[in-house]
Amino acid sequence: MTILVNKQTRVIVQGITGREGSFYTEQMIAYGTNVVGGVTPSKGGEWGVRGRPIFDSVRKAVETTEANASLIAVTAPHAIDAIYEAIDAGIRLIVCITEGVPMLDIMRLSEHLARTGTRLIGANCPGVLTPSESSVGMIPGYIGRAGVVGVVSRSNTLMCEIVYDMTKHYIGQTTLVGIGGDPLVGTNYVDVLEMFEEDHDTEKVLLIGEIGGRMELDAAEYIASHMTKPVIAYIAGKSAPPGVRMGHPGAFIDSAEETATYKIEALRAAGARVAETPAEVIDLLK
Amino acid sequence: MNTVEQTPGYTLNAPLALGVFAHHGIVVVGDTSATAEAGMDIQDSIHQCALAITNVRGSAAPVIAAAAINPQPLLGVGGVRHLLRENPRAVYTETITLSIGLRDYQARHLASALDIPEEHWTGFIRVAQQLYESHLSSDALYSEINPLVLTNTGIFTAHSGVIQIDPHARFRQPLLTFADPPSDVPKPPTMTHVPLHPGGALACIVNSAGLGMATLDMVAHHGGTTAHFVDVGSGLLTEKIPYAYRLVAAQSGVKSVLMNYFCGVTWCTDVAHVLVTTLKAAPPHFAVVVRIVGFDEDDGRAMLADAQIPQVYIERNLSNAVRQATELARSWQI
Repeated sequence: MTILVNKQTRVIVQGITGREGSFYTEQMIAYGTNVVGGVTPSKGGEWGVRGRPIFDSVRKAVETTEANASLIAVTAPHAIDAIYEAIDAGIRLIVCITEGVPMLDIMRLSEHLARTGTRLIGANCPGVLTPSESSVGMIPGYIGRAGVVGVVSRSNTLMCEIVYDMTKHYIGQTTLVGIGGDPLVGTNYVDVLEMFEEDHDTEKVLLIGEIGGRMELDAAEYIASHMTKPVIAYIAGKSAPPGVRMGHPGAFIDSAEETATYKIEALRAAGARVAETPAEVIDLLK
Repeated sequence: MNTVEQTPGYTLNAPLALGVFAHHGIVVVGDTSATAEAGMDIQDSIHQCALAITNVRGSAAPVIAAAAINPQPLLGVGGVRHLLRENPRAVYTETITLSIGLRDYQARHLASALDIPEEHWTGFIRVAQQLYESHLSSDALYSEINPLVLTNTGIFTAHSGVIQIDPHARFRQPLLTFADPPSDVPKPPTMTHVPLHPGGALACIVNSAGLGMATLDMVAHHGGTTAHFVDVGSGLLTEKIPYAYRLVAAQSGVKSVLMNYFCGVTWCTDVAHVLVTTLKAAPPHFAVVVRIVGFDEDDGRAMLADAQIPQVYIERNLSNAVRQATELARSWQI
């Protein structure tokens, strides 16, 4: 068992004929992901990347292929509608890699997600990778290796850096979840920690966090009150000055609670082991 | 009250913000001399407050917040947000459920807490609703009327204010055309340059915010100080890598540049090709430590090594690269 995606996950790609959509579909299929088709309105009936069927609507795609997960790879103005369409068609796992979805739209969507029991990863996220089984999104497959460590991160590249290093040291992973760096995302650290806590294959969890926001502090509270599995953490941005945006829309210190130091202390107090550098993560995981 | 939304939005300054509020039916008085002429002297008002709506990071529910102004001095623009952070007990807040909207009773709670005379509660509720409509229709992250003055003639008037708009709404929000970008918006777009300690000897160029922050932390861990931080992000590396290099090369005092690229979906050989071209076109007068890993990394590093560019060191391991760059920043003689 792993979390969110595995070999059985039947994935469609909304926006399969677009630049990003076709690129990542190709990568996902090459990795072995069970991509069963794609959706591009007005191109229904055609054949897309590696012969995958294209449908006009998610409903038709689901009827025909029994898809149960969708990757949203459409442009920002269309992303929110694509998410609603997927929910309406009965898809309950949606990964949205599109960058630039307005916060108001995600706020409005939140209630609908809860009401319908839909899991949204992102928006503006790298996606989910279960090594040797399935990749939904843009996490490069070669960085991972099947194993027992569950990984959750806001940053994509930093996660790639650390996980690739783990893999080189033969430390494998159950599932990697990139939740995205926007100020409001569909799935946060606590949601993923909960899933890893319940997953039989996951023995340890690696949480990669950064400055800005309170999400890591919520995670610390959850770790203290609910986690029985060991949590190893790394928080980037100890040397980031306050008030300066470090690239991610959410990586911005505005109060003392949002600094790396504060978060590290909170996580340590909650019982997590916190690495000082990315390289030290490996030592703590061994 | 959790952290106030602080993603830097695009700002509509007072005159434009007041225009948007007026469009939603709020009486605005932009010019205080005109106010005085009309007999609506702020000093002679019945009540003054600041009223704001803010999105909260990590939350799907916006918050309406109000703070009394009398007898304290006027809060500057953005004052409500400042108070929420520094002295949250001085601010009255109500959380809005989007599907339900801002209810009358919520605005009434605020009016009561602010000690607005009861006969003016209806007027206050109307302004709060109008501000909420304005907030939603302008894709705002933060909207503030400050001050909101109840004149001695019994009318609520907005005298100044600000709206910060979500830059993600670019594709549908015409108001963004008139908004000022946040001061730290990188040029060219999608590239971030943060001068941390101008005049310092070490610069870092990276291709991700998270990896960049981790790199800075490692430099600090090895006893160094990063003077300049440039995140080239993803995509269009053929333009951004040379731009970042020239930017760093133009800074005085730089003795050592650490380039840390993790190539997830790009090819290391592509990055190496751009680096070789860039470094050959303008050979560095400082030390350059290049660390590239990821897709096709062995070939990428080989390309760089084959180019034999003086002053360029190639590393595979991040800790070693950081140690070397930090050491060179200390010892390099220009």
